[in-house]
Amino acid sequence: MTAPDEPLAPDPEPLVFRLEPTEPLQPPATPEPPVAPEALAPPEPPAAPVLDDAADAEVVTGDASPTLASKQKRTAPWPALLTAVSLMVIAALVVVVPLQASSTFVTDVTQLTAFCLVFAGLWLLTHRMGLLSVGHGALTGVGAYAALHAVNDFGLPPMLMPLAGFAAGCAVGALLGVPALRLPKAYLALLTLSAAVAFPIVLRQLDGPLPVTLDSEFIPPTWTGIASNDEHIWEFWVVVAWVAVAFWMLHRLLTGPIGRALVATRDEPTAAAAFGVSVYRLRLAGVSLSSGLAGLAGGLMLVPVNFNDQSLYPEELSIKLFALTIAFGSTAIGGSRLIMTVPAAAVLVLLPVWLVDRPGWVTQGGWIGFLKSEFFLYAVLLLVAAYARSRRSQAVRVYDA
Amino acid sequence: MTLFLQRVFDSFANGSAYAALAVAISMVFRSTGVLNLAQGQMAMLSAYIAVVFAAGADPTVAFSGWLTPFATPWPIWAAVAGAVVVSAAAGALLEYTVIRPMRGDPVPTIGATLGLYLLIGVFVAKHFGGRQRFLGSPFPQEHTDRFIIGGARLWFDTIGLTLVMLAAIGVLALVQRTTKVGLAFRAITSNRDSSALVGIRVEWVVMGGWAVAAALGGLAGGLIAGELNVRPDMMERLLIFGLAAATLGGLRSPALALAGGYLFAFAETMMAGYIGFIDSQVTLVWALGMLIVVLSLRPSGLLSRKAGRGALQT
Repeated sequence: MTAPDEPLAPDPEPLVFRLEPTEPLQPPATPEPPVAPEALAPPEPPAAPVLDDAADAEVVTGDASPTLASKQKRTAPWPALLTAVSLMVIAALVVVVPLQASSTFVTDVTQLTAFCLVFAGLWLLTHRMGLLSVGHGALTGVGAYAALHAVNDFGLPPMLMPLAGFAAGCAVGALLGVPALRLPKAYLALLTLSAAVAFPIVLRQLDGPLPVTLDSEFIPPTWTGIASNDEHIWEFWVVVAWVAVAFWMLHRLLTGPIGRALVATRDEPTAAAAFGVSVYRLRLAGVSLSSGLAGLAGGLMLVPVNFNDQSLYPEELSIKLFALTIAFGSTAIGGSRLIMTVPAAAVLVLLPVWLVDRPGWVTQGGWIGFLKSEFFLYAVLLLVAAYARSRRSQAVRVYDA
Repeated sequence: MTLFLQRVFDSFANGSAYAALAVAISMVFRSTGVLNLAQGQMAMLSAYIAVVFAAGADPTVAFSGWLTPFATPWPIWAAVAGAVVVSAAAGALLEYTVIRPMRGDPVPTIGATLGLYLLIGVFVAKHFGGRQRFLGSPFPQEHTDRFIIGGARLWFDTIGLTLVMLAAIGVLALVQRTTKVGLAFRAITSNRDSSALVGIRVEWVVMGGWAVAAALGGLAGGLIAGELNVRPDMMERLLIFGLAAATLGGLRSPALALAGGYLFAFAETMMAGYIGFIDSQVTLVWALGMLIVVLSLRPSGLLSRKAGRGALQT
């Protein structure tokens, strides 16, 4: 009989499980017993801010050896130089575009930038965790409500109001996640859709039928050299700064052990639990974080818009967000990369502006108007993206079999 | 007491509609594991189809030309019956063309049902202008058509609606228990793969389940239209209450879904009637709150014996 304090002999083969049908694994050189989730992989050096989903093409092992980590680096789709150049181009655009473009366009792009955060939250939930939310529009509204009242009623500095939105989003996300995550995935969709339908009613009850204005303005500091009537430029930079920080932190989080554990809960929850991962708690934290990102975006929406109203967050917004997340996060368009949140946000914000959904198009524009209507396009997008995604998952199942 | 009784009677009509939608949602979820978020929109479309049948060539009702094929307006009961048949056919068609290719994968399947949600909404906006329509009830609605019980009025319309819905759900339960088709349906809800192995044509049965669920939702939409009028958002509230009611049975028990429909309608009416700061709109929020409480306390449904601690469920 083995003595109680005698260490257990290591398994002859390390416990290895595959998340995606990728290239064959290289077995680690020195097998170790399963460890805590925080130690699923050794701490990585600071990664270049590449906004891609390396985990979709990677392998999670109980012992992520340096050999495997370096192999992942070598096979990264974006070389570091290209990433650096892209970031410099983006930074240049962030500086130059608001100085040259019209205020209306800059306001649209500011909203677009904030919506990137909502899509990042949905991307985390849908593509990294395999969960479904049809209520992120409402969660954005929750963040906007909390941020506005944090400034108006509690005197929070307006620069910090997105934090109030983040906290409110996390809290509501946890409230929905606590019961839903113990049940099949459909329940989270059910609860979030209910929240999406209920939120405008709640907001009208809380704030009344009229819009509530933010009791503060974003006056550009003098050191920026921006004229006081060009506040849209300053607002854009404020939002970009918040979004950049949030994206950087999210990227760091997801490329670390927690990110890998989240993927494990999606693909192999039983094996993840065997490794010591608390699947329920990790999923709850993920849902809460995803909702918090939506709430943060809601707080940022107040920067260019300066008011909150029930009509800004109808349930259709949540469905549009879900549709674009499915479409722009699947292999149908662009692959599952965090950077795909940018075109998704661009479609959401600019489609009604540039395209077709003028008043009366649907009802009076005949069949052409019907085909060009915004909701019709979203419906087609959803159906096509859903079909493409189901084909992909069938292919994965066949491969695994 | 009279006021209380009146509110109980008033909750019957809404309760019947919630119950019908809840049973339809449960049926689809049991047989395919799909949460059909478009169930309410399908019922709304069915109500509009009933309006088309009932309106005939009425020049005051300006539909698109091809949607008024009958010069003579149909009686309302026939219009509702016609809409139920069309809904059943549409439900089967949608299962075959949209849902079946998803192969039960939850993310794309729910995406597809949301796509249908939007598509039906824009179709109605295109063909009916998004305006409110009047259908009327197939039951007597004169001011004298009522019973007085304990001083409260129980309208024939409410009785008719409730009895028809209960009868429809009862017949459905009877068919499931006593016929071979019902046996096949129960078999595939228990074990789909084994059902296929013993020769049950699973895909046909599932398609039939979708058709029956769509017909039941269509019946609810056609009948409740006499109370609510027909408008594009008429089923939004009903869908949420229907979903909440369906969760009482863990999305799998039609009997509990039926009870849940009436329970939620009762709670809604009482809250709106007796709690001052809750108006009829805000009851939806309380339904959401009740849903969260129910799922927290009894995750697998009120009568389920499962503890619901299965965090690893997919």
